[in-house]
Amino acid sequence: MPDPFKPLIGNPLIAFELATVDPNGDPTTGITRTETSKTSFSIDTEEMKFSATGGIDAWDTRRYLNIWVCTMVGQYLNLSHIWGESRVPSCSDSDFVTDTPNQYGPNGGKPTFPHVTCNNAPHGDMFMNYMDYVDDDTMFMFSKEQVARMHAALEFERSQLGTPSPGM
Amino acid sequence: MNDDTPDPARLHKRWLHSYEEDTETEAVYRPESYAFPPSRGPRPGFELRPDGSCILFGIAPTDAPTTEPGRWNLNGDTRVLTCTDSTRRPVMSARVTSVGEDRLTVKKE
Repeated sequence: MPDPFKPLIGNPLIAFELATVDPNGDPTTGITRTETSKTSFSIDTEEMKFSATGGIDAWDTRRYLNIWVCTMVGQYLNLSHIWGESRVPSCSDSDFVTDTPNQYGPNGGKPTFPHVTCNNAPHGDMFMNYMDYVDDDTMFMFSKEQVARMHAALEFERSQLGTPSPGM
Repeated sequence: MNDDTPDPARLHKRWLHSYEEDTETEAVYRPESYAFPPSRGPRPGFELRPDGSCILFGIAPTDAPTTEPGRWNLNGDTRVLTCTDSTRRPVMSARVTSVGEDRLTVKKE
């Protein structure tokens, strides 16, 4: 962990567990298995997320976090990619948190510290952040302001997460 | 046009961001046929066509790849490559610093 970013580490204190009750009120392990004739799914079309296209429909996303193959949980809690909201790399966009350095575009693999873009020397990109595209063993932090955004999402947009089904 | 202005014909292909090769100040793009290492998400980029149309490949906030058709232009004096969307709003603007057969670099701005 690079020293300059150590004071910025935030702990989300958010834990997920497998659902024990499904949307119909029946007991569940929280894992469903779907047989499909499809041999692959494209992330372009998100066909895996719909029964009509060979995948499986989500459970009510207000009350459950659905994971198919690889869903980044940060976005569900209102975080942006750490390089910003622009669809193409740019130094002029933002991820709406101020304690992550301005970053040009995604990083991949295992960058070495410091990785400078967008005049963000001397410390460079916070590429070890979960909202970048580096390898699993290279990402290990949220920043404090990212944590604040996640907590705000849990308080408002996702306030029904984990609550019982209506009528139960 | 400046003498060192890149020949627009060399730009006519689909270029994808080879971010592993970036420097602090320059971003590197490669043709889509390039042997890119695996990427966690889609690679952003653009396809520049001889008829002036372009397609912008981006990353949505949800990680899904996006495609956006538009028009492109290379300013001969400033070497600024611009792609505009269907409403003529600039969606990409980058200063080209070099164009090779299989390598395009732009300034990070």
